[in-house]
Amino acid sequence: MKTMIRAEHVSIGYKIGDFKDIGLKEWTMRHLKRNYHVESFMAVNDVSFELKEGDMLGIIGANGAGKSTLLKAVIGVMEPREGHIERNGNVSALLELASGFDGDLTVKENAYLRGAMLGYTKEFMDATYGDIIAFAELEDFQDRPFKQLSTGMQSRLAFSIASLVQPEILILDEVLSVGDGAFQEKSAAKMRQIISGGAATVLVSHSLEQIRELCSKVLWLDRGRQIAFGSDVQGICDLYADFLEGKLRTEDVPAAYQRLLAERSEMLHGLTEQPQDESEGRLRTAVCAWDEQHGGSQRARIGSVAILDQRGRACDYLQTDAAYTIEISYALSAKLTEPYCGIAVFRDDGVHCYGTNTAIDHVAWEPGERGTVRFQMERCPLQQGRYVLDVAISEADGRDCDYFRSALEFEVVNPRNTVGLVAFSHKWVFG
Amino acid sequence: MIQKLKQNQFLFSELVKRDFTKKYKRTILGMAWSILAPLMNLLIMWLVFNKLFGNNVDHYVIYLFAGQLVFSYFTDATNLGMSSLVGNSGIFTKINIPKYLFLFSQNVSSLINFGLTLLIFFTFVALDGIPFTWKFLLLVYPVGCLIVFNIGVGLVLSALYVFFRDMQYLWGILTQLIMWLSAIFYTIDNYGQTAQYLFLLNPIYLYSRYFRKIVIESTIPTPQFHLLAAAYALIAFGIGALMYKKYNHEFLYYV
Repeated sequence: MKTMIRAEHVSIGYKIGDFKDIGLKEWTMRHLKRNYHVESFMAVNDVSFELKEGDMLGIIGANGAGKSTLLKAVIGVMEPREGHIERNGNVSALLELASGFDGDLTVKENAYLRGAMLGYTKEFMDATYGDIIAFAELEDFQDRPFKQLSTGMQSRLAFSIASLVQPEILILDEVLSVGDGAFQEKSAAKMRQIISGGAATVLVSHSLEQIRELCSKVLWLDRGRQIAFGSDVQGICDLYADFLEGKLRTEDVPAAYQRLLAERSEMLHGLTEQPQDESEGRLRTAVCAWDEQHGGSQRARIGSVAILDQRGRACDYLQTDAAYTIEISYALSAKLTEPYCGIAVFRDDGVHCYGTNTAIDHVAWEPGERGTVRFQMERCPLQQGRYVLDVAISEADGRDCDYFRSALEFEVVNPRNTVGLVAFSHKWVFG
Repeated sequence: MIQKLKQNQFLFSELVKRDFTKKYKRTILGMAWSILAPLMNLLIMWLVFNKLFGNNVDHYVIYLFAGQLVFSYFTDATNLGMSSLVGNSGIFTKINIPKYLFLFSQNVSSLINFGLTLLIFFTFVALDGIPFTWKFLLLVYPVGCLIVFNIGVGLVLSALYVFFRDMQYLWGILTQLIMWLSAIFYTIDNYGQTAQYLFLLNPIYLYSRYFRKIVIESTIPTPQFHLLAAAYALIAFGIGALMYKKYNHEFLYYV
């Protein structure tokens, strides 16, 4: 899949101080009196993330966490002081709803102006304008000056323009809550359509429900620092909710996040003790070493992961009771000591359904430089639902070489009407 | 590249439309007023100074008008241009578009004003009985220089205005000073040779001098004169462009 946005170790500076809204006269006086203070600080500090087509990233964090600053760097209004941001596609940004609209111009003129600012051609706007107005439900107001619209109408227009121009990257800052209930539903549906069309979306929201519902990845910032980034949206949101309720202090968050990740990997290779590290710097290098899905020492790398049916075709719809094989390809970059390979299956609400590895099963595994591991199951015992598969290669003492989180998402359908979490293999006997 | 240019061209035309609509508030009178203002100015100057200088200068009205024409375009473009960044801060802090477009579009409406005033100027020239010669075509040169010069000064001022909010007052004082030093309503013939050369340090004087030489004296200025005219324009533009390049990502801290 194509990477739409890649941010690598991005730090963004910000300046505050006496320089704002002063004149040359005051500037000179302050310099003479040595009373001129400018403070430069990092509003965003060493943040990395990656978005692919169809991803929707939710950014969470308290006020002043650097969310808006990060967005500004993503859309290119600000320049990172360190690191770099790569964008592949045209960006449609909605930072503050009514900004950039001109009260004296008509609705139509404003729509064209905004379209031009978002980088679209006149021909495109001519073709799309009708849809924009219809979506915003402003057909009767086209020639009214913009300032005569109600705030709700203004927001609707802004949202319609930003979303109907078929953006490849859509940036939304606290704007999904515009309009009345009906429009909110319409805009959420539009969002899903944009995402399924392959766009990458970044959403800043204070509403955790919204993030949980819409996002496939989440980035948590606190005073400019990256606390967590990953596709475990529910897990990270749970931590954040604890943090908001005061159950968790900021300084404890990295440890808690590590525990969360450790819990998952613990389930995988039956480990009780995970080496704890105090510094958060270590956390990220240990867990999110090379991207948000892979973590570990990189001494092994997992390539492709697929679930094959009996005819050897890859599938992401499974049937209860049918036979499947999970095929994992890997490459080693070092000789591993006591290596083992494991899998873990989670239901989409986080329930850990099953986990095992070659060590637990007492199967000797001597990996070559590259090769495949096949996990064959005679019958799939899962019931109807959506599941996530994690795969890992580890070595002695539970050190992960590559923990591949959410390697595969799949759905199970059950042709029969049994209920519950697992399908027992069973028979009825009457005496 | 071409796609980029096409996009910016659409944005530019939309910005021009916006600035134009806002400036004239969709009224014919609004447009007429912006031409009337310099004409009123001209009339007052003529009433006040005609007795004083009128007898010594050929075609005094045209002399006055040439100076006034250049000067009013300069002040109009630079004063409007100065607020082009601050006035659009709501846009460039939220959307990544080339910031100089705001100034360019402001300059277009000043340029249109200038063009209309120029037509009235030529009407006056005809009424004053001055024959039109092929040399008038050379006026394209000082007009071109003046456009570039005004854009350059506008770039510098709009950048400075972001940092120092009293620039408007300071620039008001400075334009007053420039007006007095531009020999709009008086001639510099009575000054010594050195003083006369010093006047050439003033670009506004230089450009209006070009107009007067062609229109009133029907002589073509020297090559050095041409070089100086271009140099002023390029230097102003160069400084402005450098400032925009250097502070492109700094402006946002100040608004």
